[in-house]
Amino acid sequence: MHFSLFLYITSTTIRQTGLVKSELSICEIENPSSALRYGLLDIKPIPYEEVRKIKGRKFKVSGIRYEHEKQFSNIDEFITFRYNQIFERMPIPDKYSKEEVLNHFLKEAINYTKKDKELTEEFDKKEKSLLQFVAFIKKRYQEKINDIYETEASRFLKSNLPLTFFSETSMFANTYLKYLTLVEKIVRRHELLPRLPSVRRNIEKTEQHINTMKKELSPIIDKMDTLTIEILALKSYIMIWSAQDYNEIDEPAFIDKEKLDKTYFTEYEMVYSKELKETRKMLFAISKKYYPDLFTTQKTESNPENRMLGKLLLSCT
Amino acid sequence: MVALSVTGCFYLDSCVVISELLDENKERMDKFKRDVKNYTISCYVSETVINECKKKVTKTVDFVGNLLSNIIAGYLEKLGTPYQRDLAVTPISNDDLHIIRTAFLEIGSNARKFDLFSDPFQAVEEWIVEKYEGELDKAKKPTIYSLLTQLTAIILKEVNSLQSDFESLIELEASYIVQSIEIPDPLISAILVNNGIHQTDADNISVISSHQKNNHNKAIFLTFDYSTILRNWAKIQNSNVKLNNINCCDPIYGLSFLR
Repeated sequence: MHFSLFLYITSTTIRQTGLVKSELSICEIENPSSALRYGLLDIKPIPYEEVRKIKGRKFKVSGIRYEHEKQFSNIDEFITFRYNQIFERMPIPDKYSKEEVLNHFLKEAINYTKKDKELTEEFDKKEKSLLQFVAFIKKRYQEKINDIYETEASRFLKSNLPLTFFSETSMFANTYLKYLTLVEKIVRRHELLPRLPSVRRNIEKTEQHINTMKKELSPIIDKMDTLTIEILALKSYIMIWSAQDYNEIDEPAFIDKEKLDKTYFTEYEMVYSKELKETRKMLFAISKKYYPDLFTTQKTESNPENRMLGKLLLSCT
Repeated sequence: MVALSVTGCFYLDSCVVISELLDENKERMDKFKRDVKNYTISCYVSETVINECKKKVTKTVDFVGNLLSNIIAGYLEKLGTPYQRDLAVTPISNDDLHIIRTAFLEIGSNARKFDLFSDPFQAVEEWIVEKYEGELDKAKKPTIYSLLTQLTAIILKEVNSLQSDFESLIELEASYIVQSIEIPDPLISAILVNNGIHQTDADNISVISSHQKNNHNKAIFLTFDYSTILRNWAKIQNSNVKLNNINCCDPIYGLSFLR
């Protein structure tokens, strides 16, 4: 037996039993995406007048706030709708019931969102500023990005899939950050206008600006939602089929490509890659209007990884 | 400076594209880019070069992945010995560096030249040792598994950034390089292969012929590949009259072929 093959087989067997740092749940991919759709697209401006106490004196304050339209009554409905889309076309191993698996992921995702007090608070705050809401989502994503990469890395070390597969799936994080940056720029431009004193109390003008913003945001959020569904579908498929039993569904001890149906796996992978490419193309096209530097090459200062990759690529035949 | 007019364009080899992405061969690339800017010269990449770049990235990423996941992890686990360790609970130690040293001496030893400049194993070895030592100096040492995870995560992030830059530069044409629609000329490719050029390089170069035929415009193939192309080009060109109009050179000489 070839030496490296021998190492591979034995080392993976050992790592199946190893204790490793807990990975991010796949429902974390979905969370910011639902929040943005719920928080930015399904809203309408409503004029308000209320009495507020400031330094003991009562003042009448009027303005415009954003309320949710009635299409979905709460974020749980969004999440349910999304997971139904994913699982209705996914094959499930005979040892599980489809309903059980769907409910498991739904419960995870809904609980994750419910436990997220910061996000719930931001949903309320959002009635005052959409921009703050997007900035909050972006800041959290930026803070989490290293964990996302480490989760991908950990899954790679516990799998027999090539590293290029994980570089493709982690490209979602790179894309999502670009997306949030662009959404922030769009919201900034459209939210600033209604805040001008002449417009502030004019509900018609505010409505006009918000509608323009929604019109601009809608195709991007739709596209990113499709990509989110595809990455979720790809990852859920791998997790479900790699798990030894039901308890392992969220974090299989070993991700084994031999357990995946080649046709389904290739299809999930291809659809995700196609969506990824199209989404990035769309972000690039729209960034020209709102933020031309979004895709500017990020030639970072030379670092050891960069130097190593340079050597490898230039010596590669 | 008012530039004299030059006619023609450049076609870039994968090594030129990679140098642009990673800021390698900086002085030569800077001179070449100045020429492109001052004389408004079009720069193309053929589909064959784009595919070659992608293949090189895939090959490189999987090479590093395989080393980290199978070779290094396998040696550090002390596989096949009575002292097998669980990497998830074993903190890193100085002894690990000796295990890594053995791994790099043994792995693929029959096929390797152990040349410090071009041996890909040694490029990864330098990087791993540097990272390992950095962690050994810290008061709180991570487990081996945790360090391997961190190293893999760093590589993934760096590769994503490289892929994103490649996409901007080539696929989205956000800078000075444009994708060419020309395809390889099979006749020229065959002549080049007969002269010892690899099929991929032969296809890349022969696109020049297709471009010149279809656009009646001079095109120069720019490459840093001295070992197989540039050092032998004069001899190859003289071997067949059909290669007379095909010129390959280092990017710093590109302009001289268009004057």
